[in-house]
Amino acid sequence: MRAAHIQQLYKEELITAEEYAALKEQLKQPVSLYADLHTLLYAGIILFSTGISIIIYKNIDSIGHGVIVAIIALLCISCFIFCFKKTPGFSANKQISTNTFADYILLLGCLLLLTLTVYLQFQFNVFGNRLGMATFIPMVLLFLAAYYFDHIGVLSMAVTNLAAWAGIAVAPLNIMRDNDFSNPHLIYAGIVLGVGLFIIALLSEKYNFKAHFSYTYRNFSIHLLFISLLAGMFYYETLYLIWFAFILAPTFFMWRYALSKKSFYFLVVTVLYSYIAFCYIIFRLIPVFNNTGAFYLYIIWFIVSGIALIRLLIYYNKVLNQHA
Amino acid sequence: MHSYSATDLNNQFIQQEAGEAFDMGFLSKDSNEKIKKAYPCKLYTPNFFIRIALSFLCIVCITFAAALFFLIAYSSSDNIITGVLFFIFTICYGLLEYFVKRKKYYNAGIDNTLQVFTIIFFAGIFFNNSSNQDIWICITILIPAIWLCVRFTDSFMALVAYIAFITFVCLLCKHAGEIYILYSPFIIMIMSALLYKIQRSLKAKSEFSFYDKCFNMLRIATLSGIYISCNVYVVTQLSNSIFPENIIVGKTYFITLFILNLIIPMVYILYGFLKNKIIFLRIGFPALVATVVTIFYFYPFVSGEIWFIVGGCIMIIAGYTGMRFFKNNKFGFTANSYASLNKELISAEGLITVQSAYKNIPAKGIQFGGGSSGGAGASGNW
Repeated sequence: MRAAHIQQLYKEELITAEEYAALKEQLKQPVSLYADLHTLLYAGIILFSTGISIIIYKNIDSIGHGVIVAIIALLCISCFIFCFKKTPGFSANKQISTNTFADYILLLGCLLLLTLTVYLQFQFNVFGNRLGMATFIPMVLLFLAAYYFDHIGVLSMAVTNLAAWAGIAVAPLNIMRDNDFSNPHLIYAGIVLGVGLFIIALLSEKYNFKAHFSYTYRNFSIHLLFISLLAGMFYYETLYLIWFAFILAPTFFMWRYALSKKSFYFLVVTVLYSYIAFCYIIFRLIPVFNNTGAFYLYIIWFIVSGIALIRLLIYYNKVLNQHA
Repeated sequence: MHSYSATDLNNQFIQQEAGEAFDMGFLSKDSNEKIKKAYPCKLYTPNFFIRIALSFLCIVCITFAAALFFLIAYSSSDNIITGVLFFIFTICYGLLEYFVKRKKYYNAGIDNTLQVFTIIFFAGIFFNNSSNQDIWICITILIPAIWLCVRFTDSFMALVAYIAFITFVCLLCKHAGEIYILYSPFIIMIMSALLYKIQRSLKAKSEFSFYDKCFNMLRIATLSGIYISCNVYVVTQLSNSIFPENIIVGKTYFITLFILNLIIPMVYILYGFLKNKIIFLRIGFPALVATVVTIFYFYPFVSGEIWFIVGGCIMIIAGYTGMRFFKNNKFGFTANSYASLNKELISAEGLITVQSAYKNIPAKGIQFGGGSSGGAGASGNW
């Protein structure tokens, strides 16, 4: 806060003498490098683990396999030992991080764990033809690490591994590109996983067991569920109205959740996915080809529906702000 | 000159400051509420996510409305593009003024999108097939961008104006002849430095205090511009793609640029530390990394993955050392945070990790070290 404003607020008796002193003191405080140092650590870990992965990929035939496995395993174990020593241990509630560096070392350890598992499977065929085990074992370890060390980044990795186990890619940029949603098995797997994650989020909150993880579970759940249901609606062309009815159910639940938790993010995501479903229904209901009138209707639909949604979001922004 | 009430802008600024102080724990909830009541703000600035959604929906509406106008116009005449563009431009700007004046939209997503479309349609009106078309486009972007920045105190428009201006200078050099092309990196550097000086003197004046965000944006843009304009990689790439005559990069020229690539980040970092100016550090360090990458690009004496590992190690060590060193406040800097990160940001960090770790789900039958098809990497998409 600017010095002139602090003075002004104090003169108008809008802040107390203690607050005035604290704000004055705050002006002399040093510049925080917190975000910068965290970004540096984070980028360093991502860069390092990527480098390790590439070096293995490119030199698979020239480096001794035993040496590679030993080095990665040693690095991975060292990371976990460091974290066990430097962190307070398991708690069912949210833990305030006392050692930020350990959080990043845990992230590095988990990334190396994944590299090690993939390497062992592809080079030594450790899990044989049971490819599911290659994703299941790291998934279990990642979930354990996420819950023990209370790390949301590792939890995101564990959930992604869970999805991979079910054959779905849920990494943000891969969810549309790498999934073949014309495969009904994938659509159903996505729905089951989405509902499952939603239930885990509910249970986490209900039993207050790592309740702060519910946001991450729900975030994956909402995208997975809506994308799978939309894919179902597009795939089963003759049953699209039934699939649309299925979409209305999570829309209703997510809408209520967003309003009850005052979450702008979930509100926006729910509105946009439902909008896509509505647009599809309109496209199916208005005849498409050989009709200029229908083409004009589509354009008018997008303009009118866009304006309607804008008004709806503006209204709910006010509602959520009033109750915030 | 700006479209908003000075009281509203001032009150919003005080409310923002009070909100930040409350988040840091310097103000009680009661005091924060009292400040909000004493400094009421009629400006409408929705939540960040709502803003993104409003922008997206506004893009949908304007795009389809423009398509509708074009369809209607084409059904009556074939040669009416300029007229339609002018008509849509008028509507966009009219709506922008209406929303800002009547509805008090301020960074609401809708006004920002309308500003962008106003520029697009305005530039479209003057689009022609003349030999100086590129300069025309720059001017028709530059003028409305400056106006919109001044009128709506919009920092993004300040950035657009800066980019349009620099491109304009670049194109002037291109049209002026070979000698200007050769010295264009230095001309752009000087222009950026001049703009930096101008924004600094304007920022100090109290009557321009509402343009604080615009000046900050301009400062970031000009400081980045000074470095980018002399980056060897950028200069050689631009000379290959933009300037048809190509900049004849001699050895001395090349070395001069490389020296500047090293000196500029060093100066930024040193100045940032001495003057406690974080913005110089935030531009200086990435610029230094960019210089290292540029050197590697021209002299790849070790493979990329080694760079990744070495770079990663240096970053981890630097991050850790920085945390330890600045733990107890040194040289006016601290490693501690005054505010906690919100959960959306924490989730974003998790998602970036996931994206980098799970690029592809391994399919059955894939062979490590191979390509996407058989033939030991003999196919084109290996």
